[in-house]
Amino acid sequence: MSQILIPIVIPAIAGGLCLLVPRRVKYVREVISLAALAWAFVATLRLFGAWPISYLKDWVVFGDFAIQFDLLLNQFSSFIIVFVTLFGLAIGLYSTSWLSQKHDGRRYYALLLWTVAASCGAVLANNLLVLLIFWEALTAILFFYVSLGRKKDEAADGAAKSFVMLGLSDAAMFIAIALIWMKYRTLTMSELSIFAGSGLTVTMYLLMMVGAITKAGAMPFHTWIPAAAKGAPTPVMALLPASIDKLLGIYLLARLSLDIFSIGPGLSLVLMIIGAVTILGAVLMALIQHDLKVLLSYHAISQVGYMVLGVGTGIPIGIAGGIFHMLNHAIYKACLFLCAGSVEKQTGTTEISKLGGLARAMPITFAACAIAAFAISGIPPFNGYVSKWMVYTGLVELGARGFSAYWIFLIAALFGSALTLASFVKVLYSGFLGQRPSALARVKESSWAMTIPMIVLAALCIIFGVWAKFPIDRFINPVVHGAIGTSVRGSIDLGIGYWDPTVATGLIIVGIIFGLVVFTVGRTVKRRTGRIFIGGTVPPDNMDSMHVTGAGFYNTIRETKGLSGLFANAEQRVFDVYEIGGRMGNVVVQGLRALHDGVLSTYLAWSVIGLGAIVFVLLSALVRELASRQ
Amino acid sequence: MNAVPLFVAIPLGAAFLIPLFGLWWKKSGEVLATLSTLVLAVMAISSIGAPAVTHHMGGWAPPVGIALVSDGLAILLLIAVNVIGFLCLVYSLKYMQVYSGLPKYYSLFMLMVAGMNGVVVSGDLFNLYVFLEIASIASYALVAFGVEADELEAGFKYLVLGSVASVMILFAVGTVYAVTGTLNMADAAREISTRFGGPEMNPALLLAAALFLMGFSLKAALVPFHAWLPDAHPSAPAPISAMLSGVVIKSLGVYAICRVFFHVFGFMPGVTSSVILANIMIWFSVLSIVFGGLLAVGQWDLKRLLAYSSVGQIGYVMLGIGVGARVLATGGPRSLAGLAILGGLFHLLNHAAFKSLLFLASGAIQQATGTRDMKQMGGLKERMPITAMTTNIAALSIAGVPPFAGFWSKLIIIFAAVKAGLLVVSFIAIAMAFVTLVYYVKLQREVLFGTVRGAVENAREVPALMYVPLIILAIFCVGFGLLYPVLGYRILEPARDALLNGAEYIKLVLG
Repeated sequence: MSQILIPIVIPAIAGGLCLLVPRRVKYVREVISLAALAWAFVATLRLFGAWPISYLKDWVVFGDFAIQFDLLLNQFSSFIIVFVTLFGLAIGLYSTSWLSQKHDGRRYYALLLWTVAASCGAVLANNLLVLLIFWEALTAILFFYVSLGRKKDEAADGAAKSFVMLGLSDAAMFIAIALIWMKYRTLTMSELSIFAGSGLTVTMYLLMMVGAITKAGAMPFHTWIPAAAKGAPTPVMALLPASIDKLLGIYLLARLSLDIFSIGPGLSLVLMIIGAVTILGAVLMALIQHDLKVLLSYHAISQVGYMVLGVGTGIPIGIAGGIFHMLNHAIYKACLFLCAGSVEKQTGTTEISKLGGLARAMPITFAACAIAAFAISGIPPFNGYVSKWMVYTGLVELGARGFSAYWIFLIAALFGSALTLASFVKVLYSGFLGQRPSALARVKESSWAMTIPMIVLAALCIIFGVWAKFPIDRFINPVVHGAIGTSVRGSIDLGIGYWDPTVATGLIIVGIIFGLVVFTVGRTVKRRTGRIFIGGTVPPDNMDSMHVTGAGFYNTIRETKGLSGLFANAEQRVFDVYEIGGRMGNVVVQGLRALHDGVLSTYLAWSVIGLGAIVFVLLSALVRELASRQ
Repeated sequence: MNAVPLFVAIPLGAAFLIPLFGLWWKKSGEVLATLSTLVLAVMAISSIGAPAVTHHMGGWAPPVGIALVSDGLAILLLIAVNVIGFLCLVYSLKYMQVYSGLPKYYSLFMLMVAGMNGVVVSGDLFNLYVFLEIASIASYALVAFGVEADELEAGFKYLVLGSVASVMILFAVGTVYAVTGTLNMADAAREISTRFGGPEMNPALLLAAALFLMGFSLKAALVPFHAWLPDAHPSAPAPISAMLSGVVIKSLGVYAICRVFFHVFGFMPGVTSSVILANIMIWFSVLSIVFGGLLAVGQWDLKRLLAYSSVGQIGYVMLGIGVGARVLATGGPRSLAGLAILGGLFHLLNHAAFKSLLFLASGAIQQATGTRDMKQMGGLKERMPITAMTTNIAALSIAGVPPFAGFWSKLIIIFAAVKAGLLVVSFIAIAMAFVTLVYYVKLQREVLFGTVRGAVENAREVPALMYVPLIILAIFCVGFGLLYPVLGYRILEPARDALLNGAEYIKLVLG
């Protein structure tokens, strides 16, 4: 068996095995899953750098129409599958402790393994049809995966909405692929090089793009992610919408925009607008959420904006920033969801107003969550800062090349970042700081199986931030120069002149030490501590009525003039394409139903009219034929 | 020994013996019907890959004698009819216990199978008509078998519309006989191609073609001739719904269209009327795909949703056939025509598997919960895991999710349509494949997932006799997708080649 098949075949087979293990047998499923995921991870590491490897086989032959199972390992796909399998492994380990007896472990692990297998297949595919097959399979897997949630109705609603929206984007991709096949007679991705200039090629590009950004979750096709977040098991959110779907969606978007198609400034602008609107719109929604999972899911949308924006600049450093941000986002967002899962496991809720003061009880979760929160907010020296900086640099450079409106996008990106920080201040405060409600008095830290994945991901947040040169040289540079280098305009110097993260970190640490010194000196001043004294009485310790939640921190923004109407509409899902489509579809359907009145004579009339139409068409053609011969 | 007549003789004999023995032997229906459908299914499966044969009834050579023909196309349909028939019958053993008059039920069931097998193997037009009537009349009665008001009304509508179609078909048979002087299909085909140079120049033959198309389209429930189906299919007992949607509309409708139009009239390159007939087929199938799909979305009655879905899916089957016919008639490459036809036939087989599964499952659900109203259901997978799992598999397959069978057949049909230059048609087909996904997601959401509520509270999994057929059909749904090479070379490609080579058929029958 070819090496390149291992990350697809091994998890797929292991997933089938997991289903076969009887429900009562413990540990066997976990061992199978972790072994298969580790095997796949090691295999992708060994494949890394071994590009190009290709694999070609006639997969299904329909008479003389063959679907070729065509895989290609290049710089880009190799890098993505390393992280797909890494996330699979991390979340597999996490799940061993997170899953309770009430969950259906057989399906859970089978779906986890199949997710990894299908994602690796989609990334390695070098044939658009193979890509589509894995892509759609992933949609169906997500459907069942989300529906495993314990809150059954929310889970089922989220699953259905995800399936429908992703199914629509798959249909759009299908149409684009059919068009490409009609025009170019090939579906091999490495052979395609299309200039998106005419109406037809732009249509192809846009339809394919819909597929990519729906998976990644950019506006306006983002609404499935918060819907899924309401019901899905938390590790599932960490695995799919937070990390793997981002990797896949942005991978495809980059392949499309820079490799398969070459796009002009118009389409670039479309991408940048989508990016900017997504950053701001989603972060505004995130501010007002009161459920930790839903809040995180809006950030998972907002951050996609940076990736789309970066890829949309078409400037090498911007593209590199977008792709690096994709990787960074997958890391810190997976970490955040795992933290949320840890809190949920220990406290039984993700409702922000019911949490508080968990930092002391769950120090590792708190530390990981804080690091990931700083990273997502773009605070140096964490990884999110580096990639955002690269995107900003790309925008500035675009301005230097004569795109005068660049500052609008720059401000949107910067502002979005500030609001992200604001939102995470709320999360950190209301989850981990402040007073702990008495209901949570006996909360403990999660087990090692759950903390290790969080620690690893948080460590990656730091490593990829402080020593950013390593991932950029190792993963991003080969992609921008090698895999998609052909159509990138201009050379690339990855901004080490702009920002040297390692030196900067040193300076930051010096600054922090200086601050600590000042703080310690300040503490030596004598302070007085006393009991709280309200209305003539001293309240008892840990009184829940004294608990100030952070849930309503940003209600002022919601009530701001001009924004209040937008928020009200957004909460009524007026902007949700799913709702809009549903309403329009319903009108058509009800109209058609009204035609079927159940009266036999009506139906008889249709049949007779149908017969009349056949006869008329046939005979009139005959008459015309005869007339033309005379 | 030549087994072809047995496909008609066994079920016809059983249909006669069951009520006779039923006079003093209560279990006659169950025992005789099970035995005979089992034998038929085994015979059908063992005929996979068998060479095409003609059987001369009573040793009289055609065109004078009656010929029974079993070629690739007939074998495909025989497999579908008899295997699905056997599974539905096994399911009936338990399901039908709540009904009275069971010997009548089994007798009608066997009569329906006899009619379908007869249509499929019949070598002449008049016998085709006779068997078609046998199957139709049996199904009218079976639709009304519950004798409640709804069922009687549905049965009556089906009866009236079906009879109109039958009259048109009979009229068309008469016209062909009047013009060519023969009823044997191969002989008529030879006459039409040699004496008239194709059906084009003869208005009477064109009228016959129009009447045939209308009649068979009504039996196949293509829009605008579909209106009986959403009443009739839900009203019948579940195994009969499964038979009607799974195989009856295909053997009486799609198969008959294929046989008559590809073999008797023929799609010859450069013949105007052939192009027009093919175009009409494509229009009707597109209409069916669109209307069936959209109407299914709006349904809250489980079986009605499935019935409208059948209208849409039969549209995909006919789209494949129609595109193939159009390519042949416009002189396009034969390999492309073959691809389109293959897609259509593959979807026919797939639809037989997943739609009968869904109807059988709907029966199980109705019996366990006492309702067909999806608004009163939810969380069924907690109570009836096997039914829910098999329903999931069928729903994914029919919604066109890879790697299940329905994805591949739709893929072939759509790619063939794109290659034939029918861009708009293929886009509609893709868009409606998405709509199919939508209403099956609706079904899964409302019935299978969510919290257990309403009528599902007290539901129990159905007995093994009912769920084993479901499991077997679910295996088909997966297997047809993954094991295409086996299925394709042995079953589908002979059927496709039979349709592509009209001359072979003439040679086969007339020697």
